[in-house]
Amino acid sequence: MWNFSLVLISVLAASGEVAFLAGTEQEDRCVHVLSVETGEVTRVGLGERDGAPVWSPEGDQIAFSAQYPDGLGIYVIHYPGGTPQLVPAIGTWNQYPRWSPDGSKLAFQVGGLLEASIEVFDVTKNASVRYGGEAKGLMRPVWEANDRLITVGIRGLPDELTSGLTLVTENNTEKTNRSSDAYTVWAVEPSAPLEAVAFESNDGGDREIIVYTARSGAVDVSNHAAADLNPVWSPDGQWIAFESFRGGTRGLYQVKPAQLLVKTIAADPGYNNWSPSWSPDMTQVAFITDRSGSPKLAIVDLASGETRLFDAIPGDHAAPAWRPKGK
Amino acid sequence: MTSRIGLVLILALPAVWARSADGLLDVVITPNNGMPALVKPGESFSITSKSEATFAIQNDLGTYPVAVEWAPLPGGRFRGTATVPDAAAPGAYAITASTGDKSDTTVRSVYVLSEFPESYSVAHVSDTHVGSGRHPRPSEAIVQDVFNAVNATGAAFCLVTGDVTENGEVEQYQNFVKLLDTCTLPTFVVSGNHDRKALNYENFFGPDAYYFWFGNDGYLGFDTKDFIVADDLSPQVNLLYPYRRAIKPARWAIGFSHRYEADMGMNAQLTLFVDDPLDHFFFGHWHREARAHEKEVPWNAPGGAVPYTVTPAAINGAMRVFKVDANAITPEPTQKVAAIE
Repeated sequence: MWNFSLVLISVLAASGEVAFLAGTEQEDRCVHVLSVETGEVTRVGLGERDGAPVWSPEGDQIAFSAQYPDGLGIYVIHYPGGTPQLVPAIGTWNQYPRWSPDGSKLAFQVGGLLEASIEVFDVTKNASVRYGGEAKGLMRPVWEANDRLITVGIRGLPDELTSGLTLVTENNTEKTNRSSDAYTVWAVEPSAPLEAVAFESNDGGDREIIVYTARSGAVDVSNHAAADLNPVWSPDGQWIAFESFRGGTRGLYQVKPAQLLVKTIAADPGYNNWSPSWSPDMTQVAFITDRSGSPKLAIVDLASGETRLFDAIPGDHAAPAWRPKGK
Repeated sequence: MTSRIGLVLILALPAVWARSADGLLDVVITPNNGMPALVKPGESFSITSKSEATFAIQNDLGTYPVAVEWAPLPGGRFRGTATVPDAAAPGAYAITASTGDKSDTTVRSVYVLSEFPESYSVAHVSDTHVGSGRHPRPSEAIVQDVFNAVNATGAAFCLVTGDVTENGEVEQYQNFVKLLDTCTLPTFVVSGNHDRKALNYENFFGPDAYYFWFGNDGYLGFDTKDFIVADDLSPQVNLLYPYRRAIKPARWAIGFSHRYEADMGMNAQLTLFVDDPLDHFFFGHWHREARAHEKEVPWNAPGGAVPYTVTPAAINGAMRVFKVDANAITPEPTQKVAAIE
């Protein structure tokens, strides 16, 4: 078998940095940062069941969840050179951190499903406050504006659950008509220009990628009989990378919502590719692949289709996140 | 490539170990005694192996070489499709892999059945916690009584849903495997939170998630890990959807795992409870009976919410049987079958 890494390492003139998780098991999963140019890897997390790393808009901080004595805490590390600092929070089971567009706040989910609520950490005040009043069933927050979140809002509490898009501000929640309460949505992602929102939904019988805009309403942009998951907008808001089982395994595809044009990024019937993250210049996508038998970080050049596999980095890998350029 | 070996070769092999000498899986990954193959004579089953070895199934009644069609897997492993000879009598078989001068045998790995009945019962055991000192009576003695009771049920097979060890130590796994092998039924094992220590579970039992057929019914077992339950970052996500799809044509699609939590990973919930809901879900972990309101997952799925059944812990002397027929999946009351003092 030819050595995939060595053959392709010279082909890609790549640069930038990718944060990702590496570990043998959930218990030792730790945030690392890869220099794409040199291949050097820096351990920056705690190695305490670290969650997916999330870069600040300027690319100078990384937020992630990790186990701490009370449960799961949100940590922030200045990069490079910082040490992880625990974000003060009211709740003790905190995950899915997400930076506001101006980088001044960090929203995260507290608790799970039926009891889930939202807190927001204000960086300048070094304090967290609860958002959405006393509402529960609010999950996986993302920012629609610097003062407003979109969350996965659980409907039908306590025992006839579906989910839809719910707007959350500090004191209020508002169900939206961007999705139907009859279905179950997940993985809500606003586009970078904040003009559209993509999400998973089982509207149509199986899991699809839906894009909502004020002008067009909700449109199924992936439309396939196999499950489509995990939409990730390109930095310019023109494309969505997503995962799909349409090839029999979990593969990576991209769709241009304006044209409903679907293209393959990386898919193979013999192995799985998942967790896409766009490079800032949109020429490459970092992802995880099990083509070598275990989950490893890889980067594909979108123009050539050539792939660089980082299988020499120890452990199983997960959740790559390309460092943004910042200003 | 197709491989065949003859009976003469089998008889000439050196003495074989059950798994490797320390009880870990060796050449044969699956099937094994925690994930056996259930087949009728003339039917085929899947093998995952570290090499393209020559294979046979054997028991006291005979040894049968099996032809295997191989395909490479990522990571240097191989998947083979093996066909059980028509002459193989119904019963439990060990599977033996031979490569060069090495031989690897895993007992109770292939069950040849004359038929798959339309109506049957299944034993459910959970939370054996082998190695724990939580009762005056040794855990091994309690669990032995439970498996003796399982053998007396007349069930078609037994689901063992995790926390098989107290804290995942190799010696505890070794003792659990010895107890498991006193079971006369096929045993299907998944891991629990107490079983998570490095990759010890995988080294003893192989895949964290799998599915199998019993006649027209599909069973899907999966892993819920140990802290962040059914973690969305786990590569298990790669398996749940295709496995659920694979058993979609089943008369009944039945899930089994160590635990259910309302806040478990959303991918597992959406795949198994919402988009393509299971017909029933069996688990343990709680060490108690379900309370009055604990009957089904709360998702409003097409066709109705997924009903679940929790079976109290075997380390406390408990087990359960459920019946499956054309009309229903019917859990029977928990049986207390072992003393703890």
